[in-house]
Amino acid sequence: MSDREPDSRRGLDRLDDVDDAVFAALADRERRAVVYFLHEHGTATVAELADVVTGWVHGARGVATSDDRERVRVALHHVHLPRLAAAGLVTYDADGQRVELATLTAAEEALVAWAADVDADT
Amino acid sequence: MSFASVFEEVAARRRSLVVYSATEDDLAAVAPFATRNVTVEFRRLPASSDPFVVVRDGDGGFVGSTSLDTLEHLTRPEVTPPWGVADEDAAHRAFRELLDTTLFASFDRQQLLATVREFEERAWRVGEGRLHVGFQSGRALARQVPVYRRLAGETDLDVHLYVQPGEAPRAIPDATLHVETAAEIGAYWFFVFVPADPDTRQHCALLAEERAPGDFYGFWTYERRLVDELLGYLESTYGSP
Repeated sequence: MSDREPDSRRGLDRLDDVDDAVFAALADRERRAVVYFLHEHGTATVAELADVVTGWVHGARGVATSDDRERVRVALHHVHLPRLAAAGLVTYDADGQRVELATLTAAEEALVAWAADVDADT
Repeated sequence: MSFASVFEEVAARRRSLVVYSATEDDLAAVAPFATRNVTVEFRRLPASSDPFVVVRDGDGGFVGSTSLDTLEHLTRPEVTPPWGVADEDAAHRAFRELLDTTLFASFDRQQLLATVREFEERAWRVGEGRLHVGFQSGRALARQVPVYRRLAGETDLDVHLYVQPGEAPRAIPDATLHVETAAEIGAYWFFVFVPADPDTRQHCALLAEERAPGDFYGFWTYERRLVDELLGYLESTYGSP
């Protein structure tokens, strides 16, 4: 961690500034992809998130097919979006088709920024 | 039907290619596919993200996606002879299937040759069926004679080669040479392979037109119906030489 820019940790002084649920939510590559994309765009449809997570996480290993995308869509619907919402990181609209990034605390922002740096280097 | 009408049918299919990247410079990677019915869009990703492309059909449905690295291989390939090709990375082949029957507006000769080499390798591997290939000139055919002598002589493929008069070789052993004055022979570069066993699903075809010197417009396809149609057209129009 010594070569991390100090800025990426600004706002995250103590690990208990962030809920366990947030750590657990971000401990999954597909869920982090959702958060990074929403961080860039604020909001997105579930359909686009399924495309993006498929391309981002699965496309790197070659060509991702519509079967891959369907698996991602199902995981988003049943697992990832509910966990991100329970952790307070995203909100859904009424019919569950549009997802928005919640307002993150400074500690959460710092944690997401740090995770993004790690993912970019991997 | 004719080559021109097949072109029109393929040109009418709608696709969108969405480049997800931290930089708009990456749009250049899909530029060869931008046509009237293939829209190209950009959606930003955070800095340092690995870029990828999502292909959607006319209804916005997900067709597939791939990393930009894989896509760039397709547009800047190395060309090797078909039997020398080590089993090309399955992802690259899968990517060609992703852009199956999608019109490209601007490919150069090297890029097309790489696709043709993959198709030749497929025909070689299958070893039986009908292979019909049209060359732009006698000189272009002459350059490929070593390849087609092997394909015709060392497999059970029924090989037909098409060229306009002028600089055409007299004969290729084991292959049928069609020397035709029809304008479409020479105007189009085509490769059509129908395997002997249609259920093996190894059909493939490429049809390209040189619209400006070195600049090709066309498509490749794995769709059985289209490949069968192209072969049927060639056999009924040009039959026995």
